Amino acid sequence: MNEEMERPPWWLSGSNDDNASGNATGSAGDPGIGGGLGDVWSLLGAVGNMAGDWFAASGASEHADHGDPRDHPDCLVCKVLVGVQSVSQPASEPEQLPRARWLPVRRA
Amino acid sequence: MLLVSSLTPSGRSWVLDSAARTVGHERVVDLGSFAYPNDDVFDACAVFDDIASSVSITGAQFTSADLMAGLRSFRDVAALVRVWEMHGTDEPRAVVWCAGSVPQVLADLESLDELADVAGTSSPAATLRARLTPVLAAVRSGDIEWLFATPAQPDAVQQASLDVAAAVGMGATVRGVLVAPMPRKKDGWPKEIREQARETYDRAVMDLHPITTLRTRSGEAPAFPAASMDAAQASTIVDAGGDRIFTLTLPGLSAIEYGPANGGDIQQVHVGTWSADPAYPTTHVVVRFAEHTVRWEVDATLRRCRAIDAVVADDTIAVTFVPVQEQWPSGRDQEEGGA
Repeated sequence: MNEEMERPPWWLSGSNDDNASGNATGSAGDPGIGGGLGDVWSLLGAVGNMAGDWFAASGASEHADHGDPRDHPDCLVCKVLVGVQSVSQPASEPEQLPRARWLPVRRA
Repeated sequence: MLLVSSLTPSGRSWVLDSAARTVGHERVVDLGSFAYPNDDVFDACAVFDDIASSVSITGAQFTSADLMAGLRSFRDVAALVRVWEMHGTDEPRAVVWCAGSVPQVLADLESLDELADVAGTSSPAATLRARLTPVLAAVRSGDIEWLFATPAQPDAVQQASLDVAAAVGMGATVRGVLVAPMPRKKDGWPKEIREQARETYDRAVMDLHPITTLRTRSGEAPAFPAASMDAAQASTIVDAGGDRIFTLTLPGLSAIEYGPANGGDIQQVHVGTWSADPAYPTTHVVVRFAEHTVRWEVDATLRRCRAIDAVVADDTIAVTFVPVQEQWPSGRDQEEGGA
């Protein structure tokens, strides 16, 4: 079981050999509903692990400590924030305008 | 140039008849035919991509349907710019049919012009603004007028009146409103329905005053010979207590139905202030009703004041302003600014 988890999942290997196909359909000779769901859960788990690894590798988990996004070019979240700001403020970075201030309205 | 539109498809032929009688010819340009093949007005400008990207990123609260509707409206703006450049300047009697909402197109024209201004002095922004501004000026000067049709049905007339209020609040000039079609005895409509339609028309005339509001008679659409006027009126007076009362009249606004009273507040007309210049507390009075927003720029005196409350009476909004002390140089009478 552990050995199986250390190997990359079949859908990342790119190979179409018999073993990969066997893994994809669950345990040999047991293609029932339970086995199918097991594959789905393992697939989701693998995707979750990948997402976690990617998240950690990206440095996004450390973003909470970052102040000015421009000071952290290696942080994925900061990089996106800087990109958004450059699009929404393409030129001279206008001053932040206030929102409308709504008034109490009476009917005469 | 005469922009022509109808609240419902049934009014199209009637209002185009009226337009033909008004300008003296029957040639009609369809705004929709310019909306797609001529997107170069914006597509050639990188700033439009910036704007579209900005909208799609910062506007996460919008649904994709809203975004697509917004982009369609931008295309209508592009078409209006194109039509004005091709026909408007050399043919003042050009008739342009707009299948969509004219107030929406004008509002987007105004917003895009301001966005292009905010986008800075880059070449694409300057190019875009150079094409948008003359059209906006034509709208506000009366070189582009609007002729609008609504059926003689109470809900439709109410919506049409609010559309007109929004348009005049943006500075547009309205040539007139046509109430059509009217049910005729000749066509077999019962007396009760005919009378109700006439009452609805009479209500529209009152709500839209002083805008010319006519109806079809004997199966014929009328001409609208009278030139447009500045229907929206704003003024400021100083009361005995020194407060400044700003009033804004938007013909058509009185058509709005007030919701259940909640402590005397009006639920469906929202009035506020906004500042486009951080140096001043107020540069615009903002009025929001139905699906429209009107921003009215205030004069130099009111820029240095802060609004404290608002009153709505029929089609008039009154906003009370009090001076902001820091905005008035010491030793100078506040009354001087109002002179």
